[in-house]
Amino acid sequence: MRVYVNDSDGTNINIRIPTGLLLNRLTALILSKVLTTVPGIPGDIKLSKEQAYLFLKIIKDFKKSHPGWRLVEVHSADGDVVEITL
Amino acid sequence: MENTLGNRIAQFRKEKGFTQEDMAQMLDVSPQAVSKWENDLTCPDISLLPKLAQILGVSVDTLLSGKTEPVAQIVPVEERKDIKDMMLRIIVDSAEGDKVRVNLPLALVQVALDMGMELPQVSGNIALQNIDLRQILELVRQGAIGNLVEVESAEGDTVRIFVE
Repeated sequence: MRVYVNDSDGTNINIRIPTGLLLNRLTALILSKVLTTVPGIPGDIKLSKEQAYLFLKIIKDFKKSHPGWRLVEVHSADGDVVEITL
Repeated sequence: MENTLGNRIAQFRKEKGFTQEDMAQMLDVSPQAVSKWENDLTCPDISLLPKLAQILGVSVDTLLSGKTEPVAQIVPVEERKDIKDMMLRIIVDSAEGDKVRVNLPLALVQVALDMGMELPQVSGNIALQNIDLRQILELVRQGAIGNLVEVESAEGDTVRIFVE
């Protein structure tokens, strides 16, 4: 997974994270706990660890068949860029 | 203007508001390489085509052939892809000039809807509020692909939902 952030002030962040570190049961558990216990999450989404793992598994399988898949791409009017590529 | 690959790359790039340097950075190539593509001196490496098409907001087929995406079409049963291999693309162009592209596996959308999640719940974008993803999913199950939703809000935001 690659997270690329480039804002109009010149800040440039390019982080590469091994996908295996993210798309696993531990991440699913953490994600579930965060969504369940941390207040103020946009959308007030609650996921059990099984649901979170299902989400991550779908993402993992899709990534295999769609290499270079860009999940999110944001180009703001100010020139900021955020891209998340799996 | 002749309808060459280079001309199409240039046209789509300009429509997106990217410079050649922007494109080069996004694709990890040199700006000179992008310039050569646009002048039909060289072609992009085949391995870059999916990413190039995604950056330009078109399909690889459109990029290579010049055929534009259909507004929407119904695919015969025997030609339909498994929903696990399909993608839902949400394209938001705000009136202020912000551009957001979200590419979601359709299987993920289906599971999220089954769990009771709704699109505005996670997006917060007013233009997406009246879009019923369940109906879009039902259309896809019936074989619909292409540009299924195009909405312009009162504020001038444009939302397109494209399934491929």
